Formats: sequence, structure tokens, C-alpha cells
Amino acid sequence: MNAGACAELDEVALRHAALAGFEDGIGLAPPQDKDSKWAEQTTVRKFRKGGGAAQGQLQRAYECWEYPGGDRMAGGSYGTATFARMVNIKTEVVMATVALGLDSLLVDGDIVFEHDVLGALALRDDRTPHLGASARDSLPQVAIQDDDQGDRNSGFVLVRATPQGLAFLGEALRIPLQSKKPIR
Amino acid sequence: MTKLTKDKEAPANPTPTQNPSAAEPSPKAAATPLVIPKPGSGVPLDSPKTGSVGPAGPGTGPGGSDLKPSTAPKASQAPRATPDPSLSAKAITRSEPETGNGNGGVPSTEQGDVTPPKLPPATDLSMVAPLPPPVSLPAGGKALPQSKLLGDASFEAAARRASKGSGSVVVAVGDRGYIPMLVN
Repeated sequence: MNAGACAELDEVALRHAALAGFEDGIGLAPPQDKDSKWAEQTTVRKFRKGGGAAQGQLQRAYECWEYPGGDRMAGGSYGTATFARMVNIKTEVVMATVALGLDSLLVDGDIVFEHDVLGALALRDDRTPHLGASARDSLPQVAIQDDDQGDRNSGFVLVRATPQGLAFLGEALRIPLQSKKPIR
Repeated sequence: MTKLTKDKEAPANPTPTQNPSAAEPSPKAAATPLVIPKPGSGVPLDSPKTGSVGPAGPGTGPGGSDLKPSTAPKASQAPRATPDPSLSAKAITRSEPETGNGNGGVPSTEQGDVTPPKLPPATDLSMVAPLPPPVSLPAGGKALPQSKLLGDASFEAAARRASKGSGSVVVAVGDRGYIPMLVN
């Protein structure tokens, strides 16, 4: 188990949210005591001084799960075996969430959505009230990023929780598994 | 974005690349206050503080997993250059927000002592809606490849917390093994 990776993610997320001046979203509260000697300090330091009251305003915007042995995924550049392994793990993660019955959208960190993607892709019934059940059933079960060169790209992968979607992911993962080298 | 199409071309013995820790700052490294030495201090810009360039680990075939971790020291383990003590008091830290953080946009030049707040603990699963029914493969289809994630209770719990009963999940894969799932 790659113990501590999620704790590091928490630390980085909070620190960067503070550096960016977020006052909501991830739940950071603005400083309250601008007249105090702490007026020049940062929001983060306010938290430390403010103690429990500010803590209560934090909201966790993500869950984190640590992939066993995931520290071996670090740093593989495009075209390397390490990079390929990380792509395979992406497939594995989506396969597992789809198997749990969840419509799953995998996104890379450099993907920016200009619209409410959950609504646009009808991933949330409450965001697509105009779609009836039959219309929702007719939506594509798999959507994957198509870059400007006509290649598939795992930066954006949507797979709905259907038997066909699960079978697709199983097959996609089976291909590298059947290569001469195992993926792990 | 993660380009997929050249994964199959992963070299059997990839050209040595930069140490992953040096290629991209690790979350831990990113969380470390950046100390900018004064010009002429004798501390090179590529000092081991930010990770040295080391040999890549052995390569493998497509999706290779017998890739052993590089023997190059991680950024956090790399020996650090000892700055001139006479300069340390004047070192600038970037552990403070630079703009728009409620402090008038005045970055602090004090030694960083920022302690990010802690996120609240994970929500009690009893307070989270159950997952939808699991998805099964189509009749007669091939079995799914073996996966550590399938049937893992902690993975299921994280996905359940993230989906919050919506039936969907947005997931990412971090390169140090953390799997963030955005909370709906």
C-alpha cells in the first residue's frame, strides 16, 4: 500500500487552494480579524490561529483511495512502460467503478470543462430533467476523447454502468494483460 | 490529457529519462516552501533540493510492470545543499499567497510556517446513500481480468462516498498512486 499518498494530496490541495485565494469551493474561510496583528497573514495561517471554528467550514470535495503499489506509477513520461502502466490503471479503476454500478467519468487534470459535464453527459438525472428514461437509455454507453489527430485519448473517458460498458473495459484491460509482459 | 495510441510502442528499454521526482515536482515537493537564494549565493538552481537527475529504472514491454523503481533518490531523500547561513535569514519564502487572499495582496517575506488545515474525516458510510446494483457482464461474455480493486471494501466505500447516491462518479488517477474521486 502506498501509505500517505492521499494525505499528501490533501496537504497539496489545501495549500494550493489557500495560495489561490479560494474562499469557498474547497471550503476555506476568509480571514475574520483583519484588524488584528494577523492582518498580513494568510488565510491558511488564520486557520491555524482560528482553530475549530474555521475547521467546521471545511468541506471535502473529493474522496481519495490509494492504489496498492501506486508509488511505482510516478513520473513515467509519454511512451514509456511506466506511462503505459498508468494508462492501464486508469482502465482498471473505471472498470471497478462501473462494476459497482456507477456511470464513470475519468478525467485528467489538464481537462477543463466549459459546461456542466455531469448534466451535459446526463450523468445526473437531476441535472437533465428534460431527458426521459428512454432518451437517457439511448445515450452512448462509451465516450472517449478524440484529439485533433484522430487518436483516442484517455484524458477523458466516460463509460456508463451497463453490461456492455463493463465488457468493453474488461476487454480493453485484457489486451495489455495478454501481452508478453504483465502490467504489474 | 493522456494520449493512448502509442502505448503499444513503449520501448523495451526506454531511453533514460529524468528522475520522475525531478521531471515533475511531487506533491510533497510542491508543498515545501520554495526558498529562493540570492544570486551569487553559490546554490545552483538545479541543486539536489529539487531532485536530481538520476538513471531511469529498467524498461519493459507494453504496459510493463516488472519495472522496478528507479534507484535514483527521491526529491525528499536527495541530499540538500547547505545554503550559506549568512543568507538564510534573507531568504524569501513563497509559502504565502501572492495576490487576492485577503491580506491586500502583499506577499509575506517571513519564513514559511504555514500549516494547512486538515480536511474533515471521511463521512460515515451509514450517512451515505447506497450504491446502485452492481453491473454484471453480458451472458456468455469473458470474465473480467483480475483486479485488486474488484471487491475491495475500501475502494467501494470511497466510490460510495464520492457518488453520494447519484449513480455516477468522476474519477482521476494521480501519478503517485492516489485515486481522487470528485464528490458529486
